[in-house]
Amino acid sequence: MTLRRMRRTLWSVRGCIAVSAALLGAGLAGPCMTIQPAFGSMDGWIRLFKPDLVRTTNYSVLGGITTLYHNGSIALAVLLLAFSVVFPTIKLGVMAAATSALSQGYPPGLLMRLAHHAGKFSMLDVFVVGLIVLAIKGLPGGSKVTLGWGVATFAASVILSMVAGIVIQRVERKFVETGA
Amino acid sequence: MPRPDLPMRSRVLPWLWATGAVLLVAGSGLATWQWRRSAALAPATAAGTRPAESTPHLLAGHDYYLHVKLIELTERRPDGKAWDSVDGSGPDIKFSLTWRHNVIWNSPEKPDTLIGSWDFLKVDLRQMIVTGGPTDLEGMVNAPLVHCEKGETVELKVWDNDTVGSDDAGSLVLKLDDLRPGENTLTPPLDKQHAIKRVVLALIDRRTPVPELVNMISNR
Repeated sequence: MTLRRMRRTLWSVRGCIAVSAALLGAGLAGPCMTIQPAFGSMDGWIRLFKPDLVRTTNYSVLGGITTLYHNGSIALAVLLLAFSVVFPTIKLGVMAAATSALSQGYPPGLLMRLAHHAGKFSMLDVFVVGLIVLAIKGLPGGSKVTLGWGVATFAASVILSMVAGIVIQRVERKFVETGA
Repeated sequence: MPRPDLPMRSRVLPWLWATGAVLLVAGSGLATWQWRRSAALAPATAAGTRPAESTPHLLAGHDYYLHVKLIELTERRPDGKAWDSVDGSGPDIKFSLTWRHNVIWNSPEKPDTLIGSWDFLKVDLRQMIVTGGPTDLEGMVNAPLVHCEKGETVELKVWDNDTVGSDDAGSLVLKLDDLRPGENTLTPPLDKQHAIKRVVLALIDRRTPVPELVNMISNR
């Protein structure tokens, strides 16, 4: 791989990282799920006398983490914050730095290893959301939970970052092989 | 990270790229948050600024529950005196609705307050226990029915209910042609004739299906 071609590839990877970063931010702040509680045959009465209980609630990933924190589930909130917010962001930052290192002609070995480790758990919140959906769907009374576009955006961001990571690794390998 | 033997530019560039990516995540997140926030506020703002012409009117020939949800009075009587000169307490708000020269509704009293509010449904437990048997939803409705026709009006009379002598807080003529289904907030211009600062009414079609009715009631 020539240095010129490698740089062209790296620019595509940077585009991927930029889109992934934008999607990650949107996915974290965008609506992740909507919970519409229902109480079966008692629904009408609950709506009458306890309207707060039947209010539809929208959560984003960040909003969900904040709610968990305020409700005392600090460990889970910290875990989700680390794996859904901090690690994916760091991974993108490290990958962006790696493209810069590669384009300047030196291997980003440590950077890529860091990115690889940081991104290992970045789909954790999608998994947690999936569990919540399953749990709520199993509740009696007809409560509904619908996934928002935030989940799709977040997942797209993670997939894009994975693609970027794979390409960077390939470029790095070629770089080492050719000694560019 | 960059090796120490590299020139300054080569060492700084990766950090800049990394920072750029992190800033992009933060910027995108903030933009999405701001957009969602303004989208959530938009319907309320739009409702507040919507011209009266674009709102739907009451349908002629339909019966509507005229529910007075809230009445706010000024801090003093129309003549400028305190509501209760003896102990300085607030007015005991009561109102009546007069339609076609008949008083069709007398509200329960809301004591010592400048803002009285009434729920759409009221359960009279004492009566239920005394009389026994089931009760229907209609019997629980805390509002009178009016029939909507062109030019129809309802008079709202508000007063401070005292055992010795009630103080008039004023009255408003509600033109049904000017009202719309659902919640209506009226802020009549203050003058020496009345002390009514704000009135919140709800007009609910009697044919509204029960689930929708329940939803409306839950929005206090």
